[in-house]
Amino acid sequence: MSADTAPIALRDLGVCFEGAVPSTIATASADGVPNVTYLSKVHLVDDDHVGLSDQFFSKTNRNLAENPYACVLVFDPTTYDQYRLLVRYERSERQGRLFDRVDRDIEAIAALTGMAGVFKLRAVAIYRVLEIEAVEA
Amino acid sequence: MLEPSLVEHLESDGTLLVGTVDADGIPEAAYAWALAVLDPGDSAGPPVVRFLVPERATRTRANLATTGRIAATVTDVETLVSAQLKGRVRGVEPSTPADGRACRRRFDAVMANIHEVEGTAIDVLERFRPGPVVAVTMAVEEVYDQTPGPVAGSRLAPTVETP
Repeated sequence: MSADTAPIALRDLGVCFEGAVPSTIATASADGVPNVTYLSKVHLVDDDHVGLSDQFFSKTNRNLAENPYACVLVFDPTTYDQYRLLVRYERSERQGRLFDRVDRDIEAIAALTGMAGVFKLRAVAIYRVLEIEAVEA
Repeated sequence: MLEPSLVEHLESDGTLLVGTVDADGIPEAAYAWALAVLDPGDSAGPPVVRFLVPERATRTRANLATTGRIAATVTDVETLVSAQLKGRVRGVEPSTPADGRACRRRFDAVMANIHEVEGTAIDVLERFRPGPVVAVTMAVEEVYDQTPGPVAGSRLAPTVETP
């Protein structure tokens, strides 16, 4: 992103959080071993935070316990514009409105992919978004 | 050693994600293309694979030059069956004309799969086409099942010590 480009606000990327195109997350362990995998959906929490569902991301979770930084790629499903989010893990929520919303989303996505009942939401991990950058097409 | 069925998956027309990390521990994700298994590995040495990274993936390329640690995940677009390779870079070199052809062919095949499975218009997917690429050779140390579900993260192949 060039210095004279207007900063991108998280709210500007609302369509990227509808779950139409899988997102991507890269993490790294304390000793510098990366891990990269897909996410079915990134959830917009507020102007500064996103939420990721904690289900089977065992290695991702272990990495985040050691190194809280992650790189998340999200897509605009209408244009395939790609955005890179640098995020830092802050906390996990195991109940409440956000948890219930994410739980419903997971069940809906699981049903669409023939995996109903396979995914059990354990927590919603909340991340502060540190940087947003459009990835050059 | 990479079993033939795994080699077939790795060289299939699935998506390829690459994870790297910088010297400060900041991870980076990028799409890559056209993974080929150069050597499935044996008792004499680790498996070696080669794939193409867009030149514009500047952080990924910088990370490969500094820390050299790589994770590469290949996912079948329809079944979501995924395998993740972990290892170290052996080399980064300019791509050849043959690489360019392989990249175009693999991109077209992957996007055709996404179009068929997801219904995404081809002209929209075309925006995702990589420009110039560099070729990355990777020594594989570990292989994991990354298919969504309870088995995600289980090891598929034993660790191989690299020289």
